[in-house]
Amino acid sequence: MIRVLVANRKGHSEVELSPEEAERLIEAELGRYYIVDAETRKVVSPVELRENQVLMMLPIVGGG
Amino acid sequence: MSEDLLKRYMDVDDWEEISEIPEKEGIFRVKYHRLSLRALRNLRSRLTNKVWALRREVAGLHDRIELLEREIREKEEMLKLLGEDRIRAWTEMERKRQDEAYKRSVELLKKVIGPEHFQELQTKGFFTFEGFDKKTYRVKLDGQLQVLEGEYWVAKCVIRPDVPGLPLPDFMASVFIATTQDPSFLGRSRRLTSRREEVTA
Repeated sequence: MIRVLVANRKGHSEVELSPEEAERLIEAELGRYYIVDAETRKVVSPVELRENQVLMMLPIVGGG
Repeated sequence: MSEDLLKRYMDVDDWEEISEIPEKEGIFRVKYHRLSLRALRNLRSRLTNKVWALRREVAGLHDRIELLEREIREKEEMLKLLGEDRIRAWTEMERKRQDEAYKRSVELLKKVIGPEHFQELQTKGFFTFEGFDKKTYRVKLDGQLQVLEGEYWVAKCVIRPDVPGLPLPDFMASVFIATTQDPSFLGRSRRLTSRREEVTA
């Protein structure tokens, strides 16, 4: 299972997903959130997913 | 109805002149006016219409009064609810939730930027790091991103994500990730030269 921490106004909701579900989530939220590996602190892409991984979803800031 | 009151609703034409010599007195001519039959009918019709118009107006006023009274009752009820303990408890719970969200976002920021940068942020009010383009950047406590250009820290224009109520530490973590790992972000973020600050020792 993959643990995903979503940063939002309610104070970081946490969900546990299978790798397939996590992949679908990343694909869906790619333009709105940075998906960061909690261990390496690097932005991940779906191919880098692994079991027992902890991910953090941070809303993307924009440059103006 | 007195004659004066009647006259308020009369035209001059409604009155007919009666002129006669009373039989008993014999020598005097008596002249007086009285309402014609047509005038009486018209008067009755006009009065009936006026009464109905006034009744309709009064009924409208009653409806309006009822509406306003209902509105007053609703507002008083709402005022009473707002003063209740459960509302106060809910407000308190919401405040605690916000505090908890802030604490969690601080923990997340610590994880994202690392303990060294977090320590720097706490002591100096900003943390410095190298961006994706190898330039030196810093994020201040108010969330402002600045880039070092020569002797100056130049502010960069950063747009906050459209997430209502997002805690500031979450925003700072996102700025850090964007600057270090998202090359497209640095290309889009313009310099704000008017807000540059001189580097101090």
